[in-house]
Amino acid sequence: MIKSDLHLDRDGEVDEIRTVDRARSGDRDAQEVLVRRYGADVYAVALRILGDRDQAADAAQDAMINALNGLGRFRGEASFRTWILRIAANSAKSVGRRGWRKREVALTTADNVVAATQDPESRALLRDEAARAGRLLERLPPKQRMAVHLRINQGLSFAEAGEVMDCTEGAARVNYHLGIKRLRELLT
Amino acid sequence: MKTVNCSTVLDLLPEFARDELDAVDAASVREHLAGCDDCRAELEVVRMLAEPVAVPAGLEDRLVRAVRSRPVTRWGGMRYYAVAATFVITVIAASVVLRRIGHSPPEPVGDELAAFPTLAWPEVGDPLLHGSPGLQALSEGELLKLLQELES
Repeated sequence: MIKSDLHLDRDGEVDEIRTVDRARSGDRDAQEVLVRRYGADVYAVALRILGDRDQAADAAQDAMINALNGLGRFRGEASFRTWILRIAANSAKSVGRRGWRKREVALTTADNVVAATQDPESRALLRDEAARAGRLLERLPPKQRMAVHLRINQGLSFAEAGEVMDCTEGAARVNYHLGIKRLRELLT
Repeated sequence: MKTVNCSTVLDLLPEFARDELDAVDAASVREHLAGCDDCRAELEVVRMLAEPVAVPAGLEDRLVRAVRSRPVTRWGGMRYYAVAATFVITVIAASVVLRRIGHSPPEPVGDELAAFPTLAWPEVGDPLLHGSPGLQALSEGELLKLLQELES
């Protein structure tokens, strides 16, 4: 039904397994490949949970170090991406628990939206709407926010989102639909 | 082209918005959207949210520096194998010592357990996983109740 994984085709999966194996055996270049490949996704998950860019960057750093130190625990039952995003979610929760000051930061503000492909006028409109949707997303409960982010931004299936969120596939699905339902109400 | 309902379409909207569906499913979703205002409205919301989060300049390099300068654990990935091996060796050693001093390990309880009938799990269909009834048809209260049941 779905053409392919968001990032990896069959060759990509083989390459991924080799890279993870090399990284596990201590190959620093392979470790750097993984950091560069997943750094942005790890940061985005942390940002959705924490709502603060500085804290999200710290959490992303913790997550990367924890992931590379714990590569021996990666069994390949889930995809590496799902596995590392779960570590990102746990690291973000851990950073959040440290009781750092949480600042109100819109996650998708007009200045941090990556340029879309439409004409300038449509792009500006979409950017404004995206900024508003991003601010409203912040008003959702954490689990709903996370489910929406993992499905829409990270491209995970409900089952994978459940793995990252440490809940069942059904719970991830319900949280996603609750979140979208609430966002639609807020946007109208 | 196959006919799809709202429940299926709403589940697939993130993939549809990213153009990740195969041609057949994309055509089915497109046809459904043409006649369904509600699903079209939700697609707009999904597209708004699909705007990527920008990563701060320099974050990638910061992460690379951090992992390169992290202290390397001596056991690395072998630590867990080492713990498991230690456990197995300890059990074997304890077993040998007990036999030598005349204490045999306790009898296995398998036979006693076998005397109890096995209880079968009730078979309950999970409508959530089969897309019926559609979650979008449920009220927020019903969804919250369902979530509580799933998480309990």
